[in-house]
Amino acid sequence: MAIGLELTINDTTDQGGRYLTWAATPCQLRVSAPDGAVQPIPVTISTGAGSRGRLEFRMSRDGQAAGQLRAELPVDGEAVAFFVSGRFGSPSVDDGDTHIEIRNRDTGAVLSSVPVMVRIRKNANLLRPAERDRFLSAIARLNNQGQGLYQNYRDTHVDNTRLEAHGRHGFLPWHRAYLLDLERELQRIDPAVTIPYWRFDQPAPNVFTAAFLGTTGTSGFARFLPSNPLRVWTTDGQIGILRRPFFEPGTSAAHDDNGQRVRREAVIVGFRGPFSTLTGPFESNPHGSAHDSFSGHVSAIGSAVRDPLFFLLHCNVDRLWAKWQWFNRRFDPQDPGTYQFNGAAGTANATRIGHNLRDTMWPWNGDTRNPRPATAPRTPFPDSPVTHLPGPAPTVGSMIDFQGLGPDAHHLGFDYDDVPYQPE
Amino acid sequence: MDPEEYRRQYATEIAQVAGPDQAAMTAMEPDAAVALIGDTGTAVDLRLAAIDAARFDATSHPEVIASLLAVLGNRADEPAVRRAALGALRENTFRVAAFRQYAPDYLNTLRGILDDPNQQLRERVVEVLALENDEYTQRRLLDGLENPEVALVAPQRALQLLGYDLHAEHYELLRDFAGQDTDPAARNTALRLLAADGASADLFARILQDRSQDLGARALSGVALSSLAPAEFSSVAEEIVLDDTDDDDLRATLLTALSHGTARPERADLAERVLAHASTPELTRAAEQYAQAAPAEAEETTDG
Repeated sequence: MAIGLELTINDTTDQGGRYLTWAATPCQLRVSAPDGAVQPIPVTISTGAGSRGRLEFRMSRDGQAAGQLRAELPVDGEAVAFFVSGRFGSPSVDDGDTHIEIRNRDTGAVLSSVPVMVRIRKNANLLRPAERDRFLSAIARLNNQGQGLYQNYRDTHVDNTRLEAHGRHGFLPWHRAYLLDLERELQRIDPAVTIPYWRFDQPAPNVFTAAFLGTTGTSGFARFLPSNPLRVWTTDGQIGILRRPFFEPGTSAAHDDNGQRVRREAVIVGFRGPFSTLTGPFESNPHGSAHDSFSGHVSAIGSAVRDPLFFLLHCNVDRLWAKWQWFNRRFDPQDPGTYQFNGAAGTANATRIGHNLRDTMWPWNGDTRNPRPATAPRTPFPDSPVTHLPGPAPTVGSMIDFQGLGPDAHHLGFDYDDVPYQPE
Repeated sequence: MDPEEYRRQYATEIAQVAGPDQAAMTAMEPDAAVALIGDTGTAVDLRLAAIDAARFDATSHPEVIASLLAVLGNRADEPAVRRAALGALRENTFRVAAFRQYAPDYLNTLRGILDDPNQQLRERVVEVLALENDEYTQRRLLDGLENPEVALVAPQRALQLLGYDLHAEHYELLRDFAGQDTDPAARNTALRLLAADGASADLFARILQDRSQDLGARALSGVALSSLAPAEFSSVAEEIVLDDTDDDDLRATLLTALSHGTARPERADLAERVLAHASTPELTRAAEQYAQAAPAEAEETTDG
């Protein structure tokens, strides 16, 4: 008989909760079988040997991060609480490739080694082939040749739903929710998958390949290797993805057919003004410019989701907003510099419904009354084993503090490889 | 990496990289921009710079949008300036609510370019209008397919553009293109667009099994059949996949359709038998994916 320990991560002992980001994730460790011990058991909690990702530990959510933590575990089963996070710059590359290791400080014996994954959204151009293939397989399965759940996302982002998601301040929060919704469905298929981002202000020679998002075919349709799941991609009852870039993806940043390039990351992230003066120009360029750097499906709102590139493009849009938030410390939803319309539709100084901080967002709220669209293809918002947030009907405000930096806040379960978690 | 150190490094990078572009986040004064954009006597690069500066907040300034539309619609103006105006307008259409008031004039200006002598601009605008599901443009495309003398674009391109807003009444026309062999590019596009047409299932089955057919057409027919008639597809596809005298890329494509399409993989031994003789990396890879996708219970029934 050996000492038994029970580790709770993200409020669950299930394997489904063992996915970490850079944000502080709540853990509880307790002795489940003391094996005759009568004194508290002194332990060290650290990253296990051979782990691909690296971990950091804190005693409180906003405390100082350290590579290891010392604790005394009561033998009566009382839990010791702490926080774990991925160490910025050291994500996982595979499911369970990183371990939380608990050692007895007196004997040096490993009492427990729990596999976890530091699951981070990454630059698509830098993905390992196995990471790339997992994403492609998951999204192809979700689409199921146009007969799967992907159709719901297709139906959500169409011409007659434009006003819910575009042209006003809710543009960025709405698309953050939309990405997270899709990512959670992909993770139900393969929990190791995240949406990669296409950094459109840099060349992406590894993205627009036949093994990934396709090369440009003479026909105008993207070309794929025979084994690429996108080879059988079908939407709206039609085979293939119509897409032709106006730029050379292997050597150039995105630009339109007149050479007008997308605005660079440094310009967006370095913008010091409030959100209200950022969002409009941001929506036009780089967002609109990135869409408009192609002909084909992805170049118009009503058809863009037919091309899975849409989600990599928007993942980068969201990353830029996240990085702007981090660099300018804009996570407090009540700060007018973070978001302008902090009330609800129908109150003083409010904007259109769905774009105010306290408004719930269509389609997840199921609201099909005028002026909302007549149908709601995605409702409710999917739950996740790592967090119950943002709940079934997310508000605009619930998308702001995605890392859970505010008081009593909680992360939403995603992070970017180049946006740190940095409590005040 | 320490986040605070990362922040310091990033601030330095931003200061070095963003400097000149940062000013562009603040749009040029609308009056100054309009004066430059519309002045055909001004050097092209200055007018392009004015469009560049005005585009970022154009929807807030009707006079800027009006000047961009005027330039775009002026056949006598410089093509580069007209294309830049189109790009700026396109970019602003993504600000849906703010652009809505300009949409009618924008679409009318675009329709006027369908017969523009500038081919590059014309072909771009045809697609922009097709993406807007513009009925006038759809009618012009259909007219061109019936009478090549009035065609806006080649048949293959016209079919692609109609595909943005395909209706059931287009299927008969598509079947005509799918049945001909004088324009393979148009034929393959028609096959792609017919993938939801139940009446074409027999056609797809015939093409897939006919080794004299173009390989691209066979592959497309296989993919279409896999969603239209999964059971029939599985049967035909398995036969082809096991035939090592048939084309390896086609076999790999069919395996991919079996493992990632609506026709579920059923024969666990299929991958094993392909892998025993696979001669190309793609076929090997597709077979391995099939093996991963095959359900466990199927592994017990290897005869088929």
